Amino acid sequence: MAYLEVQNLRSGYGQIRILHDISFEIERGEFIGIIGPNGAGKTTLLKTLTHIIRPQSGNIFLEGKDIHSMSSAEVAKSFAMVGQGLKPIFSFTAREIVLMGRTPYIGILGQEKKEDLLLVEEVLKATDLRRFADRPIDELSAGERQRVLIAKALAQKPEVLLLDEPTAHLDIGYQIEILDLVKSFKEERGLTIACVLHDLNLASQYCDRIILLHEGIIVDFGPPESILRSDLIEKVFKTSIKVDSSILQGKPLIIPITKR
Amino acid sequence: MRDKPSILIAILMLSALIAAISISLLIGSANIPLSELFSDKFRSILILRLSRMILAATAGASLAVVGAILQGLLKNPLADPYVLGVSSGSGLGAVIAIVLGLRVASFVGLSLPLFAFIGGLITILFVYFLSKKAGRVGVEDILLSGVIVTAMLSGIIMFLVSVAETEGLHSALWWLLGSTQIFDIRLLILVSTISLLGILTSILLARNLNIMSLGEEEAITAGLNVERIKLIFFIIASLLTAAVVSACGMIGFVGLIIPHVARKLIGPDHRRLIPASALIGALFLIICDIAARRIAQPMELPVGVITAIIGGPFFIILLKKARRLRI
Repeated sequence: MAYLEVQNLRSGYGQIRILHDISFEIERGEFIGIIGPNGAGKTTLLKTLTHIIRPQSGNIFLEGKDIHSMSSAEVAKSFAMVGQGLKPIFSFTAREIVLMGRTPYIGILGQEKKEDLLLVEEVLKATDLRRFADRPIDELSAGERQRVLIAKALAQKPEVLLLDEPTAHLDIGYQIEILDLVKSFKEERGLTIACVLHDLNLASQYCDRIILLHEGIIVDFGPPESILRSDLIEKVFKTSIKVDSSILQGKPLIIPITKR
Repeated sequence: MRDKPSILIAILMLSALIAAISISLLIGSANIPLSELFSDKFRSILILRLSRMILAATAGASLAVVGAILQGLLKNPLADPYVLGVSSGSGLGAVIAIVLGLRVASFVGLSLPLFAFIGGLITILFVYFLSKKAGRVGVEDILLSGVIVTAMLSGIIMFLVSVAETEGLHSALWWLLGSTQIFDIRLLILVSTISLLGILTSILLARNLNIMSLGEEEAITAGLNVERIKLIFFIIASLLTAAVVSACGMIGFVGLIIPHVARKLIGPDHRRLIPASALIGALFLIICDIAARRIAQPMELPVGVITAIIGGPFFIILLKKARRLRI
């Protein structure tokens, strides 16, 4: 029995189906990349895993347990999601936002306890956010805000961390910083990571295995070397590429080529 | 970090509230010397002023709390208690009662509020089911349905008011502008009990509004049962608004502005924001009510006129500022 099993998943919005019959298995502690063209269903897949969207059919099992028999709070204790940026309308501080990650442990009538506050301090330290803890989140830079979101997800004490394009809109320095941070959670805390990435070269370097999605179907699932092949990528992304395996220690490096 | 100043602000607010309460008891449209106010001769006037003050405080606190709840829940800083359409429904109920001269036997003083309350609740049910799709209530759908229903019902109110006879017209207009005059002590007890219970429940559940204000998807992934939270706060907001509107008519701007003032003072955490909004809302409406009694003596103005005159410019400043720094 695999750690996370997705069986014949069909999902979408209302009557519209985005994911058609998706099945895959992930082992504990893997760093999984999810790649594919715009509209392939990457975000829909993450949203279905975290109860934001109910699947139209199919099952998701975490350690043999069907997550759709679990309450929202139980799901939140296993899966945390870092969405595509946060636009809060009120000026909460970074610490207040991270503390909201404790929600599944508190219940609708409860209040945070001392342990929750201590855990949040530990998370702020691990994500190097203590300097910004009392600053309103709208005063932070995009990279710092992304770290706050990751810290909030970490405060949820999940087993699986899902990230939806965590490096979008960040400069290359922050892209590496964020993904190094996420990788350290895998190595130090044993978290399982599933991360939607648009940058194929980052996917190549960080992911143990990659899911290639196209039009709601898994085209292929495997280690970077077997997914980031020119025939496969050219067909799915409808563009010419060159692959070089000599620079990134055997990992494929992908260079898109102009059609003209 | 914010704890120390918030204690100071709480003390300041409470003292201001006590001062306003005292002034509102001492000042009325009739000039009664202080030495005689507490004598038996003026007991009925004192009771009248006291009940009026309590109603102003109740209405101010409730409207401000509902404003704070809806701004967080709907993730919209421009939301106020009337976006749900409750007020127009209550307004229609009341105007129907006034224009048709409807009376419920043995509840003569209460029949107007009763009609208003029922009108408000029917409307909110309508808005709720209008915005429900596939078991979920969309936040944008609530706002849109509320606005549409309000526009429709306001049209019907205008129609009824314009065909009404002069006598009914005046009392309907007066009621629509909002007033804290109270004629039945039972109504006061009923409304203040509903408000008190609603405000206390909101404070208990306030933590959930923090994460709701980050957005629905954030709240779901944090394990919150968002449909339940929305339903609970929807019920609280509707009951409080319907109760206040039935007793006082439509007092504008309190519910929109006070939460912003409170947020400036003590930050966005709803656990402090809701009690602070209640306190400041009560204070604000007591002061407006004193002004309504004194400004055009011996005539009395509807308190809704005062809140709109103070609130309008404040709202403009708020909008101007909101463009520079996000609120």
